[in-house]
Amino acid sequence: MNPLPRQLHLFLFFFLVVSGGCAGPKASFILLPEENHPAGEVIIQNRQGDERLTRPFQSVEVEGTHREPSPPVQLDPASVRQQYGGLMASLPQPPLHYLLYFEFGSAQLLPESEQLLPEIARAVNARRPAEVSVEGHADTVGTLEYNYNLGLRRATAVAERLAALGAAPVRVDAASRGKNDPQVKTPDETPEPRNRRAEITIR
Amino acid sequence: MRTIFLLLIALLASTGLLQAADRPHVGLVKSADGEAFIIRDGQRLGATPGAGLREGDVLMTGAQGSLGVILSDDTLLSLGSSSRISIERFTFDPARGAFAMVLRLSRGLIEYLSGKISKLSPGSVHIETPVATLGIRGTHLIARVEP
Repeated sequence: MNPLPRQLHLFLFFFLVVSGGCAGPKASFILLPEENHPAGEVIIQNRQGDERLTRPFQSVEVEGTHREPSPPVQLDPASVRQQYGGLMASLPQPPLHYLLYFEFGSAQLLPESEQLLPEIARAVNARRPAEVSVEGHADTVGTLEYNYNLGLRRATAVAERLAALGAAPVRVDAASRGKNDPQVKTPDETPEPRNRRAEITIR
Repeated sequence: MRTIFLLLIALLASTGLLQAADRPHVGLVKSADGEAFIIRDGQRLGATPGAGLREGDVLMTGAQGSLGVILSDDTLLSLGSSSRISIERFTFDPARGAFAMVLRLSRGLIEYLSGKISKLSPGSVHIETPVATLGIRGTHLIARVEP
């Protein structure tokens, strides 16, 4: 039942008495609401026990390593926003995502996607310093290797087009998922326009 | 002679001198105010907007400092003043289905808004503090550690 030998208990007791009142570090945790998502869950755990935050603006405190987390209490949203306004103002904007589509077996963009490029280039520069990831995808027509290379050609083509339009991110990452991550699941060797795409993330 | 050379390589590797460039890129400093630093292999670098982050980096702010950071899985992070957090582990590799994030907040204040790791692999994100460990399932939170 109790894994600690008696001597160690005595030692710990003595240590706690000697260090009298010095509880050590103290922590507090507050769950915040998430836009467009139900609130998630945070489990706060140490060797003495655990507690869960499941509702926005619930808070748990932990005083030192030898005390269990306190039961959650509900805080007033307005006072949390006031107390932590500065911190919240420093949180970066969420990343932007774009989807572009291609001709069959080619790194040539469809006209509607082509038209989006200037807007995407402007969005990159509006977020400086920005990082851009381009992930190229293919439908299932052809071998794994062929489609990996096709996805990479698509991603690279998009990165080059954005650079030519004046987008100046601090970093660009072009990668391929080939036919392994379709937007629409299909059998092998199936032409599917929605899978011939590149996903762009602007961070 | 050859042994000494090999020993030297091993020593360099173990002290981290060969490691920084090998570690994967994991994020970007988006904004910084006041004193804000990255500690990498014992070196203190200025955390200026646009600076890249690597696994193992420690982010630090001074009494008037703050930082805004975005990680490669779209996780958003801000640090208040007098704060210190390290990126202990960060793996975001959807192609291989490999996901992990461990952040260690040793003091100060952070706001955290989860990215893709937490959504694709609930249970893979942990924030460690001196008094408790947080298991995070896709969410948004504030954590504060006072010494």
